[in-house]
Amino acid sequence: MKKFICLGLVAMLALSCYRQPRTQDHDEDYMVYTTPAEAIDFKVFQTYHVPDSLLVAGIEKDPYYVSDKDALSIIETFKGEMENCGYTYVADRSQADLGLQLTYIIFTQYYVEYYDPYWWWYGPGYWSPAYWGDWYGFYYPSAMMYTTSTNMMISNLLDLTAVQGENQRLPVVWNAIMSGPTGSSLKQDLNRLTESIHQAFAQSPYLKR
Amino acid sequence: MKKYTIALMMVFFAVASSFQAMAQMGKRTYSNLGWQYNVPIANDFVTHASGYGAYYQGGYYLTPSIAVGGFLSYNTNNQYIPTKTYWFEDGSALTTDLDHSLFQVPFGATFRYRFMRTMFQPYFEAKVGAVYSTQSLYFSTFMSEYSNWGFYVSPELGFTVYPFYKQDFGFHLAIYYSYSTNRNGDFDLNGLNNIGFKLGIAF
Repeated sequence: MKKFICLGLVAMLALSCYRQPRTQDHDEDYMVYTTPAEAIDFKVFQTYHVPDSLLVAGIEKDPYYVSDKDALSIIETFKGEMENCGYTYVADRSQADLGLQLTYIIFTQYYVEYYDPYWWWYGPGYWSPAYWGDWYGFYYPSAMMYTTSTNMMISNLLDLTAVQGENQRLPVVWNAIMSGPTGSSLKQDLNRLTESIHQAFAQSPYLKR
Repeated sequence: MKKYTIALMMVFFAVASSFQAMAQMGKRTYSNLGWQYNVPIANDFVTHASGYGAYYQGGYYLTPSIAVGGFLSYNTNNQYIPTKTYWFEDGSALTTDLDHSLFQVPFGATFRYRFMRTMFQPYFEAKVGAVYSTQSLYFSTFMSEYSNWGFYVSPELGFTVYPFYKQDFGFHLAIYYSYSTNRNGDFDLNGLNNIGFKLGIAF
């Protein structure tokens, strides 16, 4: 009987003791994923237009547009990269070959735990028990809630030369997704986002005219 | 001279008998439980060693030397891959750092041959069974996971020591190699090979 109890205990341990990697040890750069439309030739496009605001989703109940200093900084970074690729900005979107639309999303997830997650003990920006004295970790006698937030910038290049009409769909010819956990400050997030925009164009050499 | 030889043999058998008396004379079952340190080898997914593992194995001696039984163990091996750009056939590209994670839970039957039945008991063991494994990628705030089953074989060489007089409690140390048939085309995994060691208690 004792053997079966031991075997059962080990079985439970085996199924419950999967050790996740310490993702907080990752570098702080955003993940950058880019993908072009199939068989697209970007050399046929000459001009582009980008709105002077970002669509922001995930903060308020409904998405909204932002044109503040930080949003304009991000838009200017995109414009600089588009011009490096050989495209000319036009203020009238009806005259543009390509449209660039930018969406900034924040996901926030909520968790309820009955213990302190091990990664809090080492997580940057969180209090260390050593600050208060010789303690190894925190003990939470009751359930607690915590959140994690993820930034995501989605940029789409749209083929504005495509045939328009009631049953026509607007082709998306390039997608770039930049994503990562929110940092300790807005300035840090903006710097990371700016670097990731440069990376998105660097890994899309087919955009060059 | 003959008297001395007989006396020497009597002393030898007395000592040998006392070892046997100390080492589970009447017990035909055995159990080993402890910590397992595992190193996946011969793959491009994870090769970092890790001590995130444990094992249990137990059995019944059909004869003083031969036992059959069962085992269960698990291990997680993680490996950090620094930031790089991955290019795909459709022209898409992904730049990120990531973690590769390999989780293995083998279980099955054991066949053990015990070389000596004394306080120190070296043995050879062959394991056969199945293994459940997951291969995961952690990047940014995303995780993608694949799982598969495979057939498992593992030779093991080790020993148990029962240092306490008339006690069934002792210590266990073993080294092993394992192979399982798990496959994952996305990660070019064609079988899982591992080496490692086990450190635990015997009872």
